[in-house]
Amino acid sequence: MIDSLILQQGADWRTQAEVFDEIFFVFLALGTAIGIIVVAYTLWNAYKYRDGGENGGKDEDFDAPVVGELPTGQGGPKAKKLFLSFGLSAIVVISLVVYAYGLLLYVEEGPGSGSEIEMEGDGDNLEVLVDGFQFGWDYTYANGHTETNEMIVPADTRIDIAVTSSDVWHNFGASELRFKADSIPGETAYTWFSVSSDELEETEDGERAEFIVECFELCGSGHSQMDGTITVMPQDEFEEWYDDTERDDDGVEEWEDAFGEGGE
Amino acid sequence: MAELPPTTSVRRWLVTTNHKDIGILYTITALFFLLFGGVLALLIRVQLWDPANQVLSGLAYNEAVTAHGLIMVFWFLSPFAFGFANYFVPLQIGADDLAFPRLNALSYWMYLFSGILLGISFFQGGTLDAGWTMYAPLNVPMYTPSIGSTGAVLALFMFVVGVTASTVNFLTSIHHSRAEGMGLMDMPMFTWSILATVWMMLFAFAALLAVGLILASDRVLGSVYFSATEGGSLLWGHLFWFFGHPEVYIVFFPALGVMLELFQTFSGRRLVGRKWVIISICLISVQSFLVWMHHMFLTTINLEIKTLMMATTIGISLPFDLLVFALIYTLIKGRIQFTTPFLFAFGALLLFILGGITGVFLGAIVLDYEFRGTYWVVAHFHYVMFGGATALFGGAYYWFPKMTGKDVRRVPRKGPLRRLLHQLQHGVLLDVPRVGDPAACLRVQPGVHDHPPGRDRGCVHPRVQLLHHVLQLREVLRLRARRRGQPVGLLADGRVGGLLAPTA
Repeated sequence: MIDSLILQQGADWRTQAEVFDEIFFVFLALGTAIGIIVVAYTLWNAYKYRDGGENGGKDEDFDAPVVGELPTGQGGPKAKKLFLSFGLSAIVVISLVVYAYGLLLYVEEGPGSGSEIEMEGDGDNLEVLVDGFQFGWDYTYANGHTETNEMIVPADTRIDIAVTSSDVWHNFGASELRFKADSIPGETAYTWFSVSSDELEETEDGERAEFIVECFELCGSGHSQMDGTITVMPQDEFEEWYDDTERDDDGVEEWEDAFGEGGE
Repeated sequence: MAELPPTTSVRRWLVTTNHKDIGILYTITALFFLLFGGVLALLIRVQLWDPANQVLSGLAYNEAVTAHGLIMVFWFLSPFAFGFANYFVPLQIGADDLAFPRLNALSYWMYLFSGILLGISFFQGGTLDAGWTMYAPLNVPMYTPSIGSTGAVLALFMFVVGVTASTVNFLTSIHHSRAEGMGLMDMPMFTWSILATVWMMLFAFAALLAVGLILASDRVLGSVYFSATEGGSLLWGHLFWFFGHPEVYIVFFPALGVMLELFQTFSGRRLVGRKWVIISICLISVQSFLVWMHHMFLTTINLEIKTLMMATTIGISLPFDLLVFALIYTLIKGRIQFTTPFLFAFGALLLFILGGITGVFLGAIVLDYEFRGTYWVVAHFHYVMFGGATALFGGAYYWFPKMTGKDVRRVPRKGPLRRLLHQLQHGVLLDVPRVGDPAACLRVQPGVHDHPPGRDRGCVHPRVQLLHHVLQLREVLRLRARRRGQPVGLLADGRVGGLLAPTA
């Protein structure tokens, strides 16, 4: 499966981080604008209609409720305004979510199918099994080789991960790459990420990029220290490293439980 | 009440079944638990002051986080609100007392003893340290072996039994004991909010009771429901969140009821779109049971279910929009009095708007994936909960004269603007920095107690946050009676109407 790794990252291949940043920007811009409008409107009216002010209670139909009366509501022009605002807020919220949903479908599917990059099915992806334990992470590759706490992956490749746990509920996530997956005993969660070789070139030595992995679910006394690393290296170096690893049959079995025989 | 000993004797408070007495007991006990949970929050802040220090060990930090969450949600917020519900619901519906006064007393005492049991669990080899969501299988003895953990689970269980009794009591009272001729739509908004709350409690706490029973069986009898590799975790997750999401509204609705009352009273205007506000409240109560899996978007559930849950989640935000707009428009063309209770309610509205906006972000699944386990969620949750607490404090100032017969001690030389800012400072400044820099917040998690040097520890320095906690504590201590204040007689007929005539 590693032989065919030589491929270029397609132009329309977006990482989860890029998708996240786009949605987040749209939400933040609209959320801030709406928040400022609503709060400013509220504060201005609270000031305008303050007791003893010029407008406070000067309306001719002002008629305060008195103690003991049955509570009733207020209709009229304000009720119309209420439905207008409600309708507007519904349109904004629903369109935001419909927009975000379109991108969710991309994140769920991942690049590969429907993308223009040359890949011969999922077999071209690197598939790694992640197993959480108190307190660290095991990474098992297709040949059964297992690394602890450091995940080694090639650049410009879609990395599919299957995440599970051998004791309690953890959450496997790398904040900079903007992906997370629950690590639950007896369950396998799938997600993907990719790092382009451009990012490798931007690092200090220009060869390796490292990303911190953390556990995002309280899992016991060592939760705070449950860190790991994702090390991304050029494809040829990765192949070299991978060829040197030893086959382990138990590991293969676990890996196949998650990805099927020989990968999907 | 003639047969009861006088209020000055201790015996009175031990034997009372009167709803007003029990309301006062609830309020005072809840304030004690606010201090308890507040001290735990302080401990968390002290530990975060400097990542190098070891004020709390890893386990002790987890205990503090767990107990802070449980105490604030279960032993402070709801009981504080139900102190007012005990006192005012019978008055607002024109009933002599709740339907089952003895059962009401039992509920209170179970609440108190469950809280004491939780306090004791700290000294039984450490209390539960599995987080306030108590995810399985971390919550079984294999991973949390201390006796105190079992103690905490039993405390929670006892609390739920007490709550269930109280739920039945309020449901019966509101539906059965209303004054003659008073229809449901005639009820004051505070009672309406309590009615919706207890209906949600009836179903939500049943799920918590179920997980509590199973967990107690796992911990005491040695069964293996939650430690089962196949599905144990997810069984807990689903049952807990089926309870957990309605619980958010169970905690918030009484506060909303207080806001609805205070906005009307201090603006002198009737509620805009009252019928639609009530319909929204009912809709939310039903919908609250259909969104629980949005807490579990990453737990391997399939895309179809995720899509459904996303739709219901957005659906539930819409009635809330209507509630917020109804509150705002009620003020317009009113004669707004910036009294202390109103400032609290007004501040609560602003906090709630912030909580709502941060919540919409979480409704977008892609964003939710990344916000999982970070301060974004913590901040969103605290805006809503803190908004609720702020409104309830408004209720405390509002009803204080009625409950004690004494005037609230006024702080002179403080203009309304300064007081509003003062209240907002506690709520907003505490949490705004958490979401101020989203990039930093994404990397910071609430459960992590000793971030290595050089890594982000938060968007604002923990020392600043610690200071705000101290200021909050001061706010709680400020609620005192003016000893020689004029006794005030309010709610003149005591039968119908939640309106308190604002005193000039």
